[in-house]
Amino acid sequence: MIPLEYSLTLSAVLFTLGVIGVLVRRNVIVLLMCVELMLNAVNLSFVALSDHLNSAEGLLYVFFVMTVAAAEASVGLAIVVSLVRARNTVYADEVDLLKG
Amino acid sequence: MMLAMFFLAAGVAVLGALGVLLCRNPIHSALGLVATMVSLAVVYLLHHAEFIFVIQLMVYAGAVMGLIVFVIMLLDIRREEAASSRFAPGKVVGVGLAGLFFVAILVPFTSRLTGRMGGMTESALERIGSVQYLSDQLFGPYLLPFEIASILLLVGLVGAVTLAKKKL
Repeated sequence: MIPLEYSLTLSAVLFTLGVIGVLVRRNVIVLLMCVELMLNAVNLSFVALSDHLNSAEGLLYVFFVMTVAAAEASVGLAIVVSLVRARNTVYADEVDLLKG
Repeated sequence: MMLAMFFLAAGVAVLGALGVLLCRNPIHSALGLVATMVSLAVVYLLHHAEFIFVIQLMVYAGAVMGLIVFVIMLLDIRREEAASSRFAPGKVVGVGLAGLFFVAILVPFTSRLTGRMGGMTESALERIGSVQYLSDQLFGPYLLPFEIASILLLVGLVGAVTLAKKKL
């Protein structure tokens, strides 16, 4: 039996690292990876709480979060591919025009 | 023993996440993220979530990371050169706010959770196992969200094909 606080602390650490990654990195693909990291941290807290509360709902939400994450990764990476085709850059701070 | 496994997995997860942040080469970042996801799968197993353990390995560490590595190699992304302003004020403020955010999400730990009301009790787990209990829930009360999730995946598929086409 893992104490709930340990898992929630690990989840908080991973989420904060994901937030920091989104704030400091420039590469769009690394930004997407940091978003995945944040989703994983949330999944961890869902799993830990559903274990603590004997509830299956948290595990079901993890299932749906994973569905959304898979769709988000595929669409996001397609956007990155078309971004490289159009502007030949993967750096988020070089993409600053609404109409290019 | 389980606690030792947890600390090992947690350490690898945090190291992998730091690798995502600090590596200049996106491929190294992706490998760090794979390490994080695999060790999180171990943590899920320690929390009696066998089904989530399997789909974490298959969907996240397998499919999503395979897709990301595929795109990195397809686009032939070189090492990221350092930004011209490494310690821009916006970044410093942002990281400070992220630290504050960390403290803020630790605050609820001081309150105690009560009431273990769910149906996944030890006896139910021993009788039918967590995977069957989960599927009973998923194809019972949660059938509509399940169908909506499949439509979401279809929309994601069509959207990815449309966005990545040469001519829209």
